[in-house]
Amino acid sequence: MLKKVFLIVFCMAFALSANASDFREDVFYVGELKPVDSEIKVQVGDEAPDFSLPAVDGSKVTLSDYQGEKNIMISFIPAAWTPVCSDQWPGYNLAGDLFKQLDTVIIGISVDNVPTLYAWTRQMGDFWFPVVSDFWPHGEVAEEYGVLRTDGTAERAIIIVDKQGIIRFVHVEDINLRPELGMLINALRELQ
Amino acid sequence: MLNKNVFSQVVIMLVAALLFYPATSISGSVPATGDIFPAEDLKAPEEGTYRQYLGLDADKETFKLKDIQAEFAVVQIFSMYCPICQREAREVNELYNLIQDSDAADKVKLLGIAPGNSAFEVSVYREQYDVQFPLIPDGEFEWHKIMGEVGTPYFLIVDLSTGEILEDQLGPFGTAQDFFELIEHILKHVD
Repeated sequence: MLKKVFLIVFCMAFALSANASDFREDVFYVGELKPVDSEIKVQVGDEAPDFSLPAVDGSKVTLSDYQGEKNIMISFIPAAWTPVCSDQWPGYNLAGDLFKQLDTVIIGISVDNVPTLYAWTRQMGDFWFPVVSDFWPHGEVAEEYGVLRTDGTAERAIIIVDKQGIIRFVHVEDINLRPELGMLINALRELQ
Repeated sequence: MLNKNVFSQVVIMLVAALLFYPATSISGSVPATGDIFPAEDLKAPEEGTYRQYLGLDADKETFKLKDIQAEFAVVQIFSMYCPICQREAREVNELYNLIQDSDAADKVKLLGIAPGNSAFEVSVYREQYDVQFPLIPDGEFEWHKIMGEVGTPYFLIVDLSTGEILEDQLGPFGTAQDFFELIEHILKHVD
């Protein structure tokens, strides 16, 4: 009996000393959302609509600047500080070597403003790819690609653009889920 | 005298409980200390090395935690997408090394379950961090639901003879050495 009490106290002391802090405690839980709430306006074979958007590092990111140099995986996410989004780009961060081997740069796009994206991405670590804001005019790029939802957030969508600026892969995921990484890597491998 | 000691330990335990639980309150359906670990099947690792480590038959496609040939299991619920899991990965590897280099190697087995991660996604995590212990993909979130959709990382120490969860830890566990000492303590004190 005494042994068991000591064990419980030891375990609790350990739990108290362990660091349970988690930035996801600050995440806003949105519940189950309508899987897709927009109509895609681009398709495979189209020339990718160009855009130039402010990045969290203060620079401007222009899609056409990569033409002839890199494949681009545009990753639209619905909103900062929400559950699935907060667990999506950190995975792309971890898989950075895979994307680089496939001569690919990711452009992460959100309709949040730059300060919000700055605060949010800092909680997730240092990303090797640019994160840009499509805040104003609100969701203009998302709208042009047909992934702006009726509530002003964006779909969880992936658009892959080859080095010639042509769209080679379009995937609008159920907003409640994450696109499976293997599917994206396979799509990029097909560009090689 | 013994009764007085027990009483004072129980008081300490209750104070610790009052301090601890409000800070990390989680859904009632999340298996926690004192509960029995879920008995549902887990997908057996394909690699012979990991089957051998867990003591599983070569032809088994699934297994239950109690099938592991050891006295205790440390179960890590993690995701390759979870930045906290990423930051802690090397510390968890260190925990595995501490266990393997100790007398507890045959008594304690470590395995990870990855809710929402496909086999490909788990392989990215394994390769990136050179993880040497079994990691089990849960691409369809089946185990995530069983585990009350708990956040990651989440660690459980399970007594394999009874299935009882002896310790749960939501969030990073601190240092591998501290967590290993907790395991050693459990090994000494659980009859």
